[in-house]
This record gives sequence, structure tokens and C-alpha cells, in this order.
Amino acid sequence: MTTQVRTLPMASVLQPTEQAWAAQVLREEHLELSEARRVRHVGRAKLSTTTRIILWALRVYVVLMMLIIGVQLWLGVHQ
Amino acid sequence: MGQNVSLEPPVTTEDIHRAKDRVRIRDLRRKGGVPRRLMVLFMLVGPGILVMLGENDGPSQLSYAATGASFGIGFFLPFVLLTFAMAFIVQELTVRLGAVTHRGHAELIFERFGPFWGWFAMVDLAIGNFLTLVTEFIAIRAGMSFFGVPAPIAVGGGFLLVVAVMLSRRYWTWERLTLGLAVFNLLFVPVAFLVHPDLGQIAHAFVSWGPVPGGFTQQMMVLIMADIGATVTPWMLFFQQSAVMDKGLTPKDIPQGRMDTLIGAILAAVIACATIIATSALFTHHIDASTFQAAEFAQALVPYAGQVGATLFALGIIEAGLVATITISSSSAYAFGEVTGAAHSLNRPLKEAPGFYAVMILGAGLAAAIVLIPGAPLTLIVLVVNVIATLAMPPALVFLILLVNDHEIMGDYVNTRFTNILAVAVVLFLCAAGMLWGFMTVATPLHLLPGT
Repeated sequence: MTTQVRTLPMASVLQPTEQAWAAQVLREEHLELSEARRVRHVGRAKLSTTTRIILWALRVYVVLMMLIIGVQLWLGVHQ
Repeated sequence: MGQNVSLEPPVTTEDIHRAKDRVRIRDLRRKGGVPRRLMVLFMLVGPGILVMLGENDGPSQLSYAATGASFGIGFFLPFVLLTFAMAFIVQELTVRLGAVTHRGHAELIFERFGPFWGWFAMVDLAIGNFLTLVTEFIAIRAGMSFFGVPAPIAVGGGFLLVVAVMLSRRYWTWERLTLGLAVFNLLFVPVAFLVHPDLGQIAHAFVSWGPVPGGFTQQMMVLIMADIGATVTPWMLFFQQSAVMDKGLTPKDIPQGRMDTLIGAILAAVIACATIIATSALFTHHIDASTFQAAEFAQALVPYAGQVGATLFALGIIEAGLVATITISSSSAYAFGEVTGAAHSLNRPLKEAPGFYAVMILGAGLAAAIVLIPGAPLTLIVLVVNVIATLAMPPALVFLILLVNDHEIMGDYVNTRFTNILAVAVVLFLCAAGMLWGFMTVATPLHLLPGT
């Protein structure tokens, strides 16, 4: 099996040896290639009951936050 | 012919630049020795110092100046140290998150908690950041007015300088240019010395947390809550984690990342205290600075700090606005790229990450333009941005705690029990102060509280 390093059209100015070198360095440093990182998703968290409660409390908080900001805007305009 | 070809992901300019930066650090580490270890630290500092000095932005510095002019040397000196200690505890979490997951903050929120919270985090951050950028250009304009520079030239020149730094096409170059600018935040320190403060009074303030002129009135408590609530602003969390990711920090760099954040917090705290001490001369001489802007503070300091001190003060305000504009714009651009899946790295040229640079540059440009519009509601913007930044903190802090305790993504670098006790205590305190202050800003004018 032959492994090739793909190029993006805009990266065509990069030399193949430079690309292979960069891929090797990042692999040794345990860093992903930027395009690999963009397509590899971490995945949804498995939410515990506590986390679900916190997120619901946050939803309530966001509504209150919007109300306070709205009132502050209204006060700022009318005072 | 007939061979099976397995394709690796494509290599980009971002990867090349990041690999070059990592090789330099790796080679220094291999050589060993104290000077090389210091060089490694020098190479790895950046996100922490920038986020802390970026938080000493134009409006913050003016707020410290107003505090010094209103309350003199006393309670607020040790109080400022406490706020930066809390900021360090919070920001350290973002170093670990970025170095271990190699993901930005908005990206992690989006992926772990879903698109609703991801988009909420990004939009909320973008709105708050945009309004904050307006206040930064107000500060730049006000600082330049001390030198008689007309507003269009001040704002336009500031914008062009910021864009030049943003288009450096390499994260390392961008970071070092911005750090070079951020060093000028230290200009407030000589101003503090030039007013010849009473060193004994300063030492007494740090030990006794006093005096408190007028006592702990309701107005003072509101000011304290506002300051606590504004200790860490949302852009700081998003910026530092994204910068750590873009810089390519790995788990073995966490100690240096932590040191970077600590150095930044210490520098920012010293500068904040210096600003309060500098304008305490106005308090001592009973100068009413309640309506002062940057140029007026600088002008009022001439009799006490001399023309040199006043000039340094005005230059410091300009620098504060410029650095904050660069860092805050970057945080919006990173968040946009992370949530939309677009390329988002300062290691990419403009043509490879057009959306990223568009958000960064157009956001700053629009904010600069608003400042130049005659009759623009700038006072309203300044008022609202404080409320938004303070109220937007609790959700950002809650997600930070949830993510840093997420075993699946953090592995061995998840929070320890001690770190959790400290971080959760600080987060609860910041959230409570911020929410209480936010409630009081509307409850007081609407007479919802007894005695108001």
C-alpha cells in the first residue's frame, strides 16, 4: 500500500518534501494536521443528570439575561 | 498501477508553520540547561500574557484611573490583586483545555453540548466583542486627542496598524508583534512613580485593605460587584484556548503555559495598581474626575506627574486600546471558524482563511467606523457592553468547568479535586457577583429594591 499526502489546490506551492516533513514533525509532536482536525469530531458528551440540570438552569439564565439586557437598553434609550 | 493508495489528510501552510515552530522548541528542549529552558519558556509564552494585558484594555485602564481618582490609595489596590488571582485560576483551565484537546473553546462547546450552545456561545461572544471593540476605538481616539490628533486620523491610523498586525500570515509573527505592543502597557508604571506616591500608604493599603473613603456605601458595593463580575470577560476564555491551539501547544507545554498565564496576571495586576496609584494624585488634591476621559486624565496629571508622565499615560491608553482590539478581534474570528468549520488560523494566509480574516478585520473596521459617526450612541454602547460582558460570563464559566472535568476529552489532565474546589469556588463567586450586579443595574432605576 502506498500512502500519499494529499494537497489542497491553494497549497500547491508547498513542496512535497516539505509537506511530508511537516506531517512527520506534527505526528511526532502528537499534533493533528489542521485538515484532519477539522473533519475529526470530538463527539457529543454523555450528559449526567447533574449536567442536564445545569444546562436547563443555564437556559433559564439566558432568558433572564436577555430580559435584563433588554431592560438596560430600554433604560439607556429613554434616560 | 493497481496499487492501493491510502490518502493522508492534506498538509496546509498552517501545518508547515506549526511544524517549524515545534521543531525550534523541540531542539531547544533536547539541548537542555537553564538558559535553554528559559529560551523554551520565552518561545512558549504569548497567549497568557496577551490575554491578561489585553484585559487591561482602554476602558479597564480608564476604570482604574477613575478608581484612583475617586478613592485614592486604599482598598482597591489589594482588591485588584485578588481579581487577577481569580483570573489566573480561571485562565489556567483554558491552557490545559487547549493543549490537551487541540480545540478552541467554541469548538468544544459546539461538539460536546450541541449546536444550540455552540451557536449561542459564538453569537453571544461576537456581539459582546463587537461592542467592546467600539469602546477600544473610543479609548484610542481619546488617547490620541491628548496629542491633538483629529479623530478620523486617530481611529483610522489605529485601525490600519491593527490590520497590519492581523495580516502577518504567521501566528508566531502576529504573537510577537502584539507582545511588542503589549509591553507598552507598562507605561503606566513610571507614571505611578512620577506622582511621588506615599510608599508607606501603599504598603498599608496592601496589608490593611484600607482606607475606604466614605465607607462601604451601596454605590461602592455596586462598583465592587461590577469589578468582580468583570474580572474575566468571555473573550478571554475563548481567545486563550484558541491561541494555545493555534500556537500548537501540547500537554508537555502545560507548565510553561501556566507560567505564561501567571506572568501575564502579575504584569497586569502591577499595571492596574500603578494606574490607580498614578491617578490617586487627583484624589489627594480633590480634583473631581467623575466625567474625565483619557485626555482629561492625562491633562489633569500634568501638575503632579509632569508633561512626561501625562504623555506616558496617554500613550498607555492608546496602546491598551490597540492590543485589546487585536486580541478581541482574534477571539471572534477563532470562534466563528470553530463553529462554522471554516479554516481558522493565523498561520494561514488571507486567501486560505477568508472567513476568519473577514470577521477579524471587518469587525474592527465597523467598530472604528461607528466611533466616527457624528451622534452615534457611544455612551449607550459603553453602558450596555459592561452589562453584556458581565452577564455573558456565567454561561462561559459553567461550560469551562464542565469541559475541564470531562474525562473523555481531558484524560489524565482532568481537574484534580483541589483544582476543582478552587476553580468552582472562584466561578461561583464571579457568577454570583456578576448576576447580582446585572440585576441591580436594572432594579435600581426601576425602584425594585427597598430604599431605591
